[in-house]
Amino acid sequence: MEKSLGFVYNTILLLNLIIVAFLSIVIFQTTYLICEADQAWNFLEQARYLPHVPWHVPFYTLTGFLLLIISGIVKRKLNGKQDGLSFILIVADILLSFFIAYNLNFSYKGLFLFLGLGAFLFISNGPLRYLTIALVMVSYIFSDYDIISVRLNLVALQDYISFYGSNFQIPLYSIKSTLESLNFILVILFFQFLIQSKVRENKEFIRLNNELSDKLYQLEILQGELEKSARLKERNRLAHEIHDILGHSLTSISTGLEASLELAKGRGKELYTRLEKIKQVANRGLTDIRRSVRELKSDAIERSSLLNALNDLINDANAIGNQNINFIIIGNDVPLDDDEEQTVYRIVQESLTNSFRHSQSENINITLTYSESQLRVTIADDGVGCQTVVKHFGLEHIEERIAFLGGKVIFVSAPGEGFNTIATIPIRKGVTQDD
Amino acid sequence: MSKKRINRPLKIILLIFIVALIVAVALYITNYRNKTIIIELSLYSGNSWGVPQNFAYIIYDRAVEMFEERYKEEGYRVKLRTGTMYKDYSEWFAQLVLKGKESDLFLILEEDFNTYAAIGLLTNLDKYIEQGKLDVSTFFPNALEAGQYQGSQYSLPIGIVPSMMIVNNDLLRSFGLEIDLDNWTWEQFYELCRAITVDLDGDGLPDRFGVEGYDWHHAFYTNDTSLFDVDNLKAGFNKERMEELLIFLKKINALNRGVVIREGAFESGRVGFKTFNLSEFRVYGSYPYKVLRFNQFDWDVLPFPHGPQGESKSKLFTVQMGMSSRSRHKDVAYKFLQFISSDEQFQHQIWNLSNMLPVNLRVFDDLYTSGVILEDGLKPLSRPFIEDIIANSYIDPNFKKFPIIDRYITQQIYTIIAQDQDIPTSVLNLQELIAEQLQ
Repeated sequence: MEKSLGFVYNTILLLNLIIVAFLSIVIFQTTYLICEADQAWNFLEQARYLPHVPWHVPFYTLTGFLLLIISGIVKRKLNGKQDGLSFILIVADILLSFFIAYNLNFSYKGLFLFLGLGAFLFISNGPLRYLTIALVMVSYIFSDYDIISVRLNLVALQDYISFYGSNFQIPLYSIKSTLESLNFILVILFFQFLIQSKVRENKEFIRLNNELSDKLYQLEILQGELEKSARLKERNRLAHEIHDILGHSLTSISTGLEASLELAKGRGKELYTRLEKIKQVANRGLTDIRRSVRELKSDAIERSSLLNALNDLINDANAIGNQNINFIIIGNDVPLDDDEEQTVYRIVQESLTNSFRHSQSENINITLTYSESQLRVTIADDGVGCQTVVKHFGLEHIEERIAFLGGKVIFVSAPGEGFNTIATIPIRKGVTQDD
Repeated sequence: MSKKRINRPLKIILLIFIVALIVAVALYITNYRNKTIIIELSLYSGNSWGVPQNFAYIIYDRAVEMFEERYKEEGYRVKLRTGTMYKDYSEWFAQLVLKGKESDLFLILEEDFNTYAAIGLLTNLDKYIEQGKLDVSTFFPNALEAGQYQGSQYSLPIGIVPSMMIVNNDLLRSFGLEIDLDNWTWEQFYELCRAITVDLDGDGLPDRFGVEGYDWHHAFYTNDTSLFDVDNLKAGFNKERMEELLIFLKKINALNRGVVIREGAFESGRVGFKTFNLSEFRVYGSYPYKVLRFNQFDWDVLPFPHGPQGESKSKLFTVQMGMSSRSRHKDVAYKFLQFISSDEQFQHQIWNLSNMLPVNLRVFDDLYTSGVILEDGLKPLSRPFIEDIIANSYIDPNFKKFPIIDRYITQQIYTIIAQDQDIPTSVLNLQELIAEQLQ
């Protein structure tokens, strides 16, 4: 139960206690005043029924009220957890309230309103709650003096109050109706607080719900990333394995063959030629493995910056191949977007592969030139070159990617002059600063 | 955790319940051990017929004595609450009722009976009468009727006092007048009164009068049957008969020319007739009062004269005892009630120790057959006369508002006569007044 709601509920309980005490004292005290004024006979004659024994009124009503309070405490402790028990208690409360109302000659029925509030507070089960409310409402309707006195013989409170002169009657009636109105107002206030707390509960529920779906979405993304990262890791591991085991073996074979070739010189042309062929195959295998490894590892860029990735690539290439690869950066490097980095990485990778395959070069220079508005990537080898550049799938792919970024690529080569790949990519300003 | 919390208040309730149970059982046991059941009985001194009675409580003391003797083994005790005069009894007892301290049994004034029966103070005795095998046919039916409300018995009579008229034979004879009881009508009665009413000292006002104590009640029931039609909430009297009544009362009242007859005028021999009852008869008609009050002239009793459309009737006074519906010992209280109203041995004591007649028919019969009544110097009260008077008596209507409406009617009739109002209009007014009051 909320604090404000509990406070209003307790205030209503207290107010009802005051009303019940007030009415029973009026009935008790008036009886004795009537006797003192020797009006007992007139009173009995006017009263339609035998009045209560005076001391019974405060005694029974206050005892009844005490039991109501105890039942209230129990219900509060149950805290809406045992609807059946709460329901039984409220039914008992209704009987108690009838007992109290009977002793007050049914001059007050606000107690049933109070019980009605209990149904909202203590019973959470829908149908049971409605049943309770219906019971309380029926009790409220029937606990009226005018209805009850048809069946039960009771003196009306008015008969007691009419004993007094009008200058005392008016204040008595005023106090009674003021207290009753106050009870009504507090009941309305209670519902105001109840509605407020329900609205607040709903809002809180919606907020939590939203929060939950947010978290779920984030979780899905994280899950995706985790999968991706696992995939990358696996590919890296695979690449390393191939590189370490197969690469090492092939290198050893190649080196061995080299030595064998030296030994075979002058031992027979046939043997030399065959070893030569095997060495070529071994070298080609080595080159293929390197390329394969590079391709597997290309996604490494996803994890690190472009420059690191390129460094790794170059170092790897240096470690495997015979060529000497230089990596030159001119200007201040600017972080690029993913797609740009990806493209740059692919160009370098593809160009290196081509050089390894075809150029028979010794040196390869890779230059990244950052200017204000563009990045130029140059891959130049000092290999055999070629007459005309035949654009196979790899080169076409590079062209497409560069074009997609709004850049340009040219391939320059002549026999004996090596092969140069020059690509320029415009840098997207403003966007690059993010992330 | 929550279970423990739930259990604590439940435990407290259980504890309270158990303690209450123990206390209740203890109280019950101590109460039961103290086996003596004491019932209380409220009494007044004086009576409704306005005749002083010496040793007013002696008859009840005797009843208690005999009752306690009868139920010696059971150990029933009866405590009397005495000391209240008849005129104060109503308010005194009403205050006890209001405070919830009324006794188990109590005498009921005639005018209180309807109220107490209506508000539920009186226990409906039908069930008890059946259980106690009380033979109601041994009662004077009229007396029993006085304790009935809406068809049920709410009180039982202890004794009765029939009322009648007394006449100064000497005075009548001195005027050469004689009463013809076979034709004992208002007309004859009026003529007799007119003849007696004389101005002796010549001051223009009469010094000798026709009748003392006669009012509209006496006249009404001798010409009509019922004042009210309670079921239909209207007056129950016949218009024509009421007109006759008012004309008669006006005439007879006019004889006195506004002089109010002082009490004691009849005893001093200056009045021809007086309303009278058995109790007065026993007090004044026998030694020593007889010597003091009625020794100077020859007198006789006679029934009330009847109107043109009725017959002679008189009021029957009864002493009624009822039982509180809040009594805690109703069974014992009822035993006493049945004892005091129907035990033949005790009913004999009614005659011996009070000025009433026993309410039991067999005891009444005994008194005559044994000659006790006639021995007591009560010769004029012959058995046929008394039986006739009782059989022809009326009791007041038994609805709650009756005492108030009765007061209104008395007032209204007084005004009609005193201000000489037009009779037919007055009758209509009276009808309206009654209907209005009954609503």
